[in-house]
Amino acid sequence: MNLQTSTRIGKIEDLYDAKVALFIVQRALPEVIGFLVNKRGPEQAERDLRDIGNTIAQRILMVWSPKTPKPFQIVKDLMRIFLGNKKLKGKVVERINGNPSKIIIRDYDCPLCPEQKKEVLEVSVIHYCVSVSGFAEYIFNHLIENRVAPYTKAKCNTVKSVGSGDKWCEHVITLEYEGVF
Amino acid sequence: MVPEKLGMFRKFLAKLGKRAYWTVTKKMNLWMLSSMAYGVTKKYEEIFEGDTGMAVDTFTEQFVNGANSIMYELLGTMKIFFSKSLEDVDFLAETALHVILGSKWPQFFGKPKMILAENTEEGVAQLVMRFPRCVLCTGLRPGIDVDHTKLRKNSYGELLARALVALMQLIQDYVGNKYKLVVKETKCRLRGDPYGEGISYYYPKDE
Repeated sequence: MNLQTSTRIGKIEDLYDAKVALFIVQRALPEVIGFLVNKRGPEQAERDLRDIGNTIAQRILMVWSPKTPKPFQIVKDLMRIFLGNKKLKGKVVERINGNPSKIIIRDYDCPLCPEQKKEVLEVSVIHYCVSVSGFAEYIFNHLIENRVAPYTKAKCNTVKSVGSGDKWCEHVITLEYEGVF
Repeated sequence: MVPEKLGMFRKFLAKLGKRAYWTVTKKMNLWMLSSMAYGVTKKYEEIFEGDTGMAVDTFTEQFVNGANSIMYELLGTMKIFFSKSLEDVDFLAETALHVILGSKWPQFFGKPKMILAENTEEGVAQLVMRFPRCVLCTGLRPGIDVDHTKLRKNSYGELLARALVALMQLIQDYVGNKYKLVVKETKCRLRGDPYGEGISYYYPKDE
């Protein structure tokens, strides 16, 4: 389950078994996103947020492994276990030879985006919660590298985000099987 | 009207309130929070061309700004638990930690200890907090994941202590006490200390 080594400080499991109030992240994130957009521009800021998602996923894999290679289930588990979000809906919209090739995930309670009822500045130039895509895509690629996924290529893109003015958050997963889209 | 000192009834209410708040508030995994902080720090390190100190200082400031906005929001509901007495500061710090981390907070923060000015060598009141398990340093490989020798103003795990001190400053300002709080991290796991420690100094403000 874990990759604990003697050189690491403390036990990662101590943190994995504990929770923290979500508002800590919800209040720090606008500062980070604002900084990235101003310093790097919106396009690069999105890439940066995806990179941050990748780094998070690397650390998540130190304590957690997906129980299944099914992409929607992975995202659902990740969001529930690590961000306390249980309001995800997923739908396969395209298939190739019976295998899902395009999945749309809608999130009606995104933990990263500001709550709609509160007055906050919308960041319309980028998809606010795009780091979720970077985070999920890294896990899919990890499964591909370890040959435990039926798909051979996976991409995840955030196309709607509450923090950017949309009514819900939406992530689109596209899967490739043996080089065929 | 701010009381001079918290009575039993207000303390009892605070104990109930913090538990109720934790029950209803949305929560996330603590390792996720730690990983997010690490992810942002590494990205900032890249943006600042390997300058870890600049990366950590920038993120710390942003985190404290974000924390300040929470404080203003919580001020309305929490103000009935404020008092002018510094003897109540450790109780308030414990309450704040419970609101943030729930009942498991003592695993990560030692019991906050307020030392009044007359009991210190410097003649300055101090809130001493120890971190037996650092929320941010846990899981890091010193010198590999974060090189503490490259740090500048803030240590890697200091942002949580600074956020808490921002709350304490807000309380002191609200109750009308004239103190300027300054936090110093005196011990850090990343530097090889057996535990982390932050001391908040309550310097009297010049009139």
